[in-house]
Amino acid sequence: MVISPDGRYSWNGKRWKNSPKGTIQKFVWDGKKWGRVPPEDGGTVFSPDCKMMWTGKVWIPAPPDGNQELEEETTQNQLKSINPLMENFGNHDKEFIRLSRNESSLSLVAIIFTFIITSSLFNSQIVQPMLFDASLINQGRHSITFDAWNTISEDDGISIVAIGSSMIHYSIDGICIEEEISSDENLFVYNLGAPGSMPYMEMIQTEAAISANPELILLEVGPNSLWDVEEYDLSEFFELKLTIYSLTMELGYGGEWEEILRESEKNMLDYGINQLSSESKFANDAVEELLTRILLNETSAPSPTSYASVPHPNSNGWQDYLRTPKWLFSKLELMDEKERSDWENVTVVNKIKYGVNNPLHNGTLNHAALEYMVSRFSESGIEVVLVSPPLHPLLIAELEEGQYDGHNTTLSRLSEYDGVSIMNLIWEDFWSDDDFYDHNHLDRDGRKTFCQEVGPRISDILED
Amino acid sequence: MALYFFALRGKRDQRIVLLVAMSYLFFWMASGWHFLLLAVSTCTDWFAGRRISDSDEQTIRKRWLGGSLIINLGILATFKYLNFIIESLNLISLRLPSSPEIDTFSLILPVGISFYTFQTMSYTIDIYRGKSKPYERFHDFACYASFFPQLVAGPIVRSHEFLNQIENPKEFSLSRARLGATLIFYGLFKKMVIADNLALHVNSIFSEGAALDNTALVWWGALCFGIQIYCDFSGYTDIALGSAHILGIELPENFRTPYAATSPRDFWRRWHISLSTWLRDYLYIPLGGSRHGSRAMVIALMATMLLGGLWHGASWNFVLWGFLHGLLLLANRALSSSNTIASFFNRFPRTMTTASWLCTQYFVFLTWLVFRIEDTSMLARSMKSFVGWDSHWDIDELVGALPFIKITTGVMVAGFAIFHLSSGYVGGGKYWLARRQPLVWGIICGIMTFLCIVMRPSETIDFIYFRF
Repeated sequence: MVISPDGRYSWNGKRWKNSPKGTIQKFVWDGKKWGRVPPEDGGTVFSPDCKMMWTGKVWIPAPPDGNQELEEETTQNQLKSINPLMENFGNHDKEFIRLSRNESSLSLVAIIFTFIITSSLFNSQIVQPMLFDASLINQGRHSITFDAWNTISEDDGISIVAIGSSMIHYSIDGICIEEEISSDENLFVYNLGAPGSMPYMEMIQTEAAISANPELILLEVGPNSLWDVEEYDLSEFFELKLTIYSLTMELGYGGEWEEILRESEKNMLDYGINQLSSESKFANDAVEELLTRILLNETSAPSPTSYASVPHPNSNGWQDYLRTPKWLFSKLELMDEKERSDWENVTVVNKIKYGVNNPLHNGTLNHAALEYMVSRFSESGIEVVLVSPPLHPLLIAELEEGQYDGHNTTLSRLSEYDGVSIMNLIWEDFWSDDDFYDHNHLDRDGRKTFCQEVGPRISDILED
Repeated sequence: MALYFFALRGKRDQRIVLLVAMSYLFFWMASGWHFLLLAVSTCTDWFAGRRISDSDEQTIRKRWLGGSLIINLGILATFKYLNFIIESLNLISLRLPSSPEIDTFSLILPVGISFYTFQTMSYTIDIYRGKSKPYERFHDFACYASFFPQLVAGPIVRSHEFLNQIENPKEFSLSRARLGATLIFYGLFKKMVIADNLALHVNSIFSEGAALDNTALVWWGALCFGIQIYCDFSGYTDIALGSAHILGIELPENFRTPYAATSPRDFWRRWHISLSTWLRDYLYIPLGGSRHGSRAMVIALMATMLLGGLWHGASWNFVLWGFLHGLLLLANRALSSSNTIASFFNRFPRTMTTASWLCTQYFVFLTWLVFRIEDTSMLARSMKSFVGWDSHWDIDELVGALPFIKITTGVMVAGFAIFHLSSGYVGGGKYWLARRQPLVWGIICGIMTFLCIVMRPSETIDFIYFRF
C-alpha cells in the first residue's frame, strides 16, 4: 500500500483516503532523529513541483498536505454523503434504486402487512395484558367482558352467566352457587358484573353472549339499570368502556345495539380493523409501562392478588376468577360509630332522594338497551332471569310509596318476552345489616345468603 | 395525482396550471382570503421582473425593484409586524407622560407569508442583479410562488432552481414515488411521534409555576425543545420534499444534522439552510459581508442575524435570539482566527472537535430558551438556571415535574441523539431508508406508520414554523 510520508493518507488506486488509525510510513533513525526512508530504499520521491509522488512504479498525485486540506476534504466528503439532494439538486434520480412494478407491489404489501401485524401484536401482547393487570386502568375488571365470553363459549358444560353492574359483581359467588345447585362438575356460574356498568354499556356484549350460547343469563334489572343516562355527564366513563370494548371485541359482534348508541358514543367505538384510535389512547402509557419494566425493572401494576388486578385469560386463575371474582372488604364493618351514624343519617337519605334510586318507567337509553338485550336473548332461545339485587334494609325502610314503581313496571314489561322470568330480591325480608358492604352491595355474608337463596331458584328454572 | 400524471400526460402547461389551481385551493383552505395577498405578491413580482429585465436604464430598473420590495415588505410589515410595532410604541409611551396609547389591529397572520414573500423577492432581486432571467410564462411563475408543498413553511426555493424543475415536468415514476413516500413517512414520524410527544414535556416545563431554578429541569426543557423544533420543522420539510418529489419536482434540503455542528458557523450551514443562504445572499453580502474590514463585517453580520431573528416572528424574543446567534458567530470568527486555538486543534484534533461541538450545542440550546419562552421573567429565570447562576441541581425534582411519559421521552431523546449524530455516516437516515430493498423498506415504513398513528398525543400540535 502507498502511504503518504506523514502516514495520514493511503492511496486506493484512484485517490487519497484517510489512513486507518496508527498507519505510518517507514521511517529510519539517523542517529539523532527519525527521518524519511531514502528513495533508494523505497522511500517517498516527489516531483520537483511537489505535485506528484513516485510510488516505485507510477507517478500519482501528491498526498494532501496540512490540516486545513485534511479538514476540507473530510467536510466535502461528509457533505456529499449526508446530503445527496443538495449536491445533485434536480438530478439525483440515479441515487436511488429503480423499482419494477412487482417490487413496488411488494413494498406496498409489506407496509400493509407490517402495519396490521404490528397493530395486532401491540394490542394483544402489550396493551391487553396491561389492561388486565390494571397498569393502564384503575380496575382490570373493566376489560374482561369479551375474553370472558370467549371462555364461556369454549366450556362444554352448562353455563349460567350474570351480567350487570357492581351490584351483581358483589352479589354472586359463582362457585358457591354451582355447589348449591348441583354436584355436576360441568355446571359453571360466571359473574361478569362490572363496576359502574349499566345496560347502555352492557348491551354491547349481546351478540358475543348469544354466540357463546349460555343456558341461562342472570340479567340485572335494578336501580342501577333504570336511570336516565342523559342526565349525567359520563363521557369519561363511556370513553373508557368503549375504548376497552373496541380493543377486545371481535368484528362480528356488531348489531342493532349500535342504533341505540348516541353519536357521541358511536364515535368512541372503534372496533375491528379500525381499532387504531382506541389503541392510540393507551399506546403512550403502554409503551411507558413497557419501558419502565424493561429498563427499570419496575411496574405501576398493582399486586396480582389485589382487587384491581385480573388474571390474564391465558393464566390458570382466569376461569376461577370469572366464577368467583375478588371483592373489597365490607365498608360497613370497618366504620366506627360516628361514621356509621353519618352513613345512616346522611348517606342513606341522600342515596334515596337523589340518583339511581328513583327508577324510571321507560323511555331512557338504559330501558332501550334492556329491551334490546332481553328481546335478542329471547329470540335466540337463551333463558333470561331478570335479577334485582337487594338493597340495604335501612334504605328500603326509607323509600317512599311508589318510589320503585318504575322498577316494577319495567320488570313486568320485560318479563313478557318468551323465556324470561323475574327474581326480584329487593323486597325479600331475609336480608340483614350484616349482609351488606354498603347501601346496595353485598358483603361475604350477603353473598352466602344470596347463594343459598338464589341457588335453589336457579336450579328450579333449569329443571323447568 | 391521477389528473396531473395521466389525464394531462404530455400537456406541460395544463399541468402547471393545475398545480397553481391546487396550490391556491390549498392556500384558500389554510388561510382563507389571504390567498389574495399571495396573488398580489405574485403579480407584483411578475411585472417587476419583466420590466427590470426589459429595461436597460438603471433608474427604471431600480424603480421597479424598489416598487416590488416596497409592496412585498409592505404586505409583510402590515400583516406580521404592524401590531408588534404598535405594541412596542405603546411600551415606550408608558414611560412618557400623557402620550396616547395606540390600539392594535385585529390582523391574522397569513399562513406562510414570510416564506413566499422572501421567495418572490429573491426572484426580482436576482433579475435586477442579472443572475437570472424572468420566467417566460406567468403560470410558471405563479407555480413557483405558490407551489403548495413548500408554500407554508419552506424551504425557500430560488427561482432558477424551480424553473429547471418545471421546464420539462417529469412523468410518474415508481422509484420517485417511493422516494417521495419515504420522505413523507419519515417526516410524519419526526413530527407526530417525536416532536409532538416532546412538546408535552416542553409545555409542562416552561409553564407557570414550574421549578425553573432547577438547572436539570431547564436543561431537559431546552434539550427537549431543541429536538422538538428540529423534528417539527425538518419533519415538515421532509413531507414537503416528499410531496414535491412525487410530483416530479425536487426541492432543496433545509437541514443537515444541525446538532452535529461543531461551531456556530457550521450550525448555520446545517440549520434552515434555505433561509440562512437567503440571508447571506440578499442581506449579508449586499451589506458588505466581510469585504470591508472587521467593523463593517460586524455590522453586516449583526444586522443580518437581527433581521433573521425578526423574520421568525414579531417579537423581541426573536430579535434577541438573532442577536445571540450574531454574537456566537462573531465569537466563532474571533476564536477561529486565534493561533492558540488553531494550534490546540492541530495538537488535539479529536478532543478539540468534541469540545467545540459541546460548546456550540450548549449555546445553541441556550438560545432555544429565548425562542421558546415568551414570558420575560420566566426567560430570565431559565437562562440563569441554564448557565448555573443562582440555581440548584435536583434530578428528583426534575422527574417529579415531568408529565407521565418520562421513560419513553428519555428513550426518544437518547434514540434521537444517537440517530441524529450517526445519520451522516449513512448518507442521511431518510436516504438510507429510501435505498433499502422493498421488503425491508415496507417493514420499516409499516412500523413507522403504525407508530405515527398510535403514539401521537391526543392533542393536536401545530407545526411551529406555520406561525412564521
